[in-house]
Amino acid sequence: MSPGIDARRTLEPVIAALNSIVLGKDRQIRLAVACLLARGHLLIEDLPGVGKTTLAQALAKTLGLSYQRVQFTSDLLPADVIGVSVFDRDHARFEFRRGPVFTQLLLADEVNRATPKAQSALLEAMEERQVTVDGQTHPLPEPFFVVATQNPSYQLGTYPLPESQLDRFLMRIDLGYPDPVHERELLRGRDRRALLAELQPQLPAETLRALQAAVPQLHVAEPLLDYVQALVRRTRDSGLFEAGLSPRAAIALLRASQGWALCHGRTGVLPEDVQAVTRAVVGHRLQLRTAVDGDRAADLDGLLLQAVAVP
Amino acid sequence: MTPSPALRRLMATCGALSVAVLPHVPQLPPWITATFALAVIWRLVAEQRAYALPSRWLRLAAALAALLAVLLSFHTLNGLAAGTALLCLMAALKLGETRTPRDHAVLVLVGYLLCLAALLHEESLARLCFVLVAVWLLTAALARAQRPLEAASSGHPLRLAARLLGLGLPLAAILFVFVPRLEGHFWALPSQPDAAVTGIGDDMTPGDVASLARSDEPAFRAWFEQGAPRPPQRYWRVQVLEAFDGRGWHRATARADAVPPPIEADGTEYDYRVALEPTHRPWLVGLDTVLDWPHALAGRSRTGALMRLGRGPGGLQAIDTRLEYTLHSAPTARVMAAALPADLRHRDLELPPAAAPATRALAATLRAAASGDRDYIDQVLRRFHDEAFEYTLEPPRLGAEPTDEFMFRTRQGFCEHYAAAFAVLMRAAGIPARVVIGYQGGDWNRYGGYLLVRQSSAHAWNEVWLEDSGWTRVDPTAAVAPERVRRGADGRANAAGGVAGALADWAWLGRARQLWDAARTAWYEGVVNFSGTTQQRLLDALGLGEWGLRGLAIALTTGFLLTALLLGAWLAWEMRPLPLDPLQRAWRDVCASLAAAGLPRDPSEGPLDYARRVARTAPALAAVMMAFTEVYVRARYLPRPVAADIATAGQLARQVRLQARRGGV
Repeated sequence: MSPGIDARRTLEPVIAALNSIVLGKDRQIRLAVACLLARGHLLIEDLPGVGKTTLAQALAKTLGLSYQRVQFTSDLLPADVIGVSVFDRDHARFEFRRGPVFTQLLLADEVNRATPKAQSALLEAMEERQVTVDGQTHPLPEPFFVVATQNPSYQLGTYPLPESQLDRFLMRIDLGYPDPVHERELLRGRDRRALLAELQPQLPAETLRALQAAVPQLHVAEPLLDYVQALVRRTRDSGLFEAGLSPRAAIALLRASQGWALCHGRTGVLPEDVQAVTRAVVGHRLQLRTAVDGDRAADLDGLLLQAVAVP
Repeated sequence: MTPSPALRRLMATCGALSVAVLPHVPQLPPWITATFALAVIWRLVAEQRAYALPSRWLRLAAALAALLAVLLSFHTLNGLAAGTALLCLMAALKLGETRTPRDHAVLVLVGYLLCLAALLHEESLARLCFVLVAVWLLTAALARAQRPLEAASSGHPLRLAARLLGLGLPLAAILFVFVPRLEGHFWALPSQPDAAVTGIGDDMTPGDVASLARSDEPAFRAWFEQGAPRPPQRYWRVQVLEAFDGRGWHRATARADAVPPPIEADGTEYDYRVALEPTHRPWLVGLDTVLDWPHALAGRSRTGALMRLGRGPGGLQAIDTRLEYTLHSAPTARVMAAALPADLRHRDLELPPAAAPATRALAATLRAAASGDRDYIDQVLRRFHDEAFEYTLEPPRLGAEPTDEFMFRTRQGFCEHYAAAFAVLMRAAGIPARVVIGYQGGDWNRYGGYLLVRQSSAHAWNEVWLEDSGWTRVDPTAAVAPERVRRGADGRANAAGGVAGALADWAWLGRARQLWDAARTAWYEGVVNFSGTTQQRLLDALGLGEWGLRGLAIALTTGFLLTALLLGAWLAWEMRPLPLDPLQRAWRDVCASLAAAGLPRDPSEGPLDYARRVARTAPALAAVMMAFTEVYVRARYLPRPVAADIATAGQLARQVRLQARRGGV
């Protein structure tokens, strides 16, 4: 990592600000930040009203990122996301009107309600970090971070993201209900919108960029690579999953672990860092064989983490 | 749609298992076969449609129910039949929880056990070939189950299995030949008393038979020391029928006679060995006329039938397994007696008073015109030959007076009809006569050098008592259909017509059949009947005779132990753990000493988590443990390790050990 930046101290105010908006979700907040530092995109899957949008907005605010929100609906067109070429009479030429995707933090709300065509427009932009319209390539701003949300319960009229598209998200997290203490605090406290409006950026843009650049540089020791490989092998050999993790997923797991380790101010990755992000990174990339007992199915940790020894 | 790798793996295991169950199907109660088939189909569908498998309680209940059902249906869980049934059921239930490679391995092992049971049921060569295929498929399924699902196929499992079995073959051969054979049975398998009875019976009622079922099953095989007798001499005696009730002929006595009848031998004598297939009756087969037999094994009745002595009813023992014995016979020997005792003479002349009036009248007419007993016999045989008698295997049924109906109305029949009618004609004319049942003929197997007699060679002929020659064989069937005696079974096959007859004309098919039978016989001779004595003979031939069983056992055990030791040493060298660096050693020591103090590390626990847990549980250890972990983590996982850290880690590890031992926990 770049000298002179103590990532943990730098990020502390960010985490604290986020925690003051989204209460009692420290772990998820840290995962989201680690995901962003690892230059990955985030998928939040949860019920309405648990704070998905608030988290995304708070992230944008605290990190000082430009923010756009696209509500995905079934009539959303690709052009509504990436932009459209309009004929300019004055100059007698086509001019590209940038869509909402040209932002630093894009909240794609209820991404599974749009048609696959609109979905893939977004997902392509996520992967390429650029948009090509009419043969012209428009690079997306840096950093570019997509937070997509999807609602797991109402499947009627939705287009679930196919596995290959899910792979584009570095992490998938859920927020869940707050615990009673934090819920009470939430009920007593002020309106979140007002709080959000007051939120100040906590991180200069160049610091964020430096942190992002530091993630892949973070030291990874040989024994840790052994551990990551052992985890991946377990998903492939155990017969518990429909298909094992791909090499791309293995890289994702390593990057996310590096992001997590950086957040915690470490100069190298520990097995604990891998374990902390494993669920978020591989949860949406693995499908349990249906033959596996129902009571074990939910417990990815038991099937994967607890079955692999730390070297 | 191509099946998923998991489904393909399941299909391989299910298929191999089904093949292993197949030989048991005839013996299994139908409900077990049905249960198994349903379980296989259900499991495959469940895999494809991704149904959930039954819960643990349901599986437990099903297993108990299966146990109970087998108990109710067999009244025991012991023995081959019940054990096989239970295995099949448990395999079916195991399918309900088959997911991991280990589950597949269990199923495959059940399959191997079923193969073993199949060979316990029947040791034929055909069964062996089938079981070999089953074992091959099972091994392939095992190989497929043990490799990762998505693995780029490194060689087909079938090929791998074939190679494994091939590699195992020399070992199996060595074990087979050299492991000392103990005489007697290791496990006493109960025989199957209700097994179907084929071949020669105890009675003969020709009128009731509308069509003679011809079976090509082998009845017995015979090895001759100096060449086989010519076909017309191949009369194999099994049993003698003396009592006639007007319809059928019955055995008169089943008692080994203390005083054998005097036999006068002339002409060629034969020493030969007979291997008799199971008949489930006590009668032995012998080439007429048997002069000498193993007296410990068998006795001879007054009528010349050989019977196996044993502990069954009447001091006899049914032949339920293949039986081998050696005999000494002379086809031209004559049973000489100065005179037939009065009571026997009476028995062999007895006819029910009202039976066969027309035949009796004919006998009276013919006898009056004949010059003597021999002339009378010739005239009767000529009558069979000249008049419109026909040899057929599908004669019409006969009514209340079978002898008369056959002689004057239907005139169609096979050996039993002619033998029965001939005996009545003889007795009516005052000549003592009886019916002999057995086999006539036999095919010379030039590949195996033995005579094969099939069930289809079953035959019936007569013996008449003549003052000058004693009991004399007369075969009335030969007068009607000489080719039956000359050509044996083939002649009959042609007479029967049909597909079998047509096929028998194809020389290559005949040769193939002979070759198959020779292989089957070699299998029995060389493998199934390989006993302590044969083993000793083989060892003598190899020059290892004086080693004895004990020496052999010691040599084998030593050899295998040595091989295992060498292999083990080699494997241990190959798989030796990489040398631990000081840091790893320190970490291992810390984990070990804390485990000894009751705080073992979970293998999946990272060093920081472990240190925190230890600090929480044993505050006394917290400081030193945290210090150690910090150094360890820094040296192991963080960049630029320093040599000092490694040394410090070793010191701290010793401190952890000391404190943990001092009861810091």
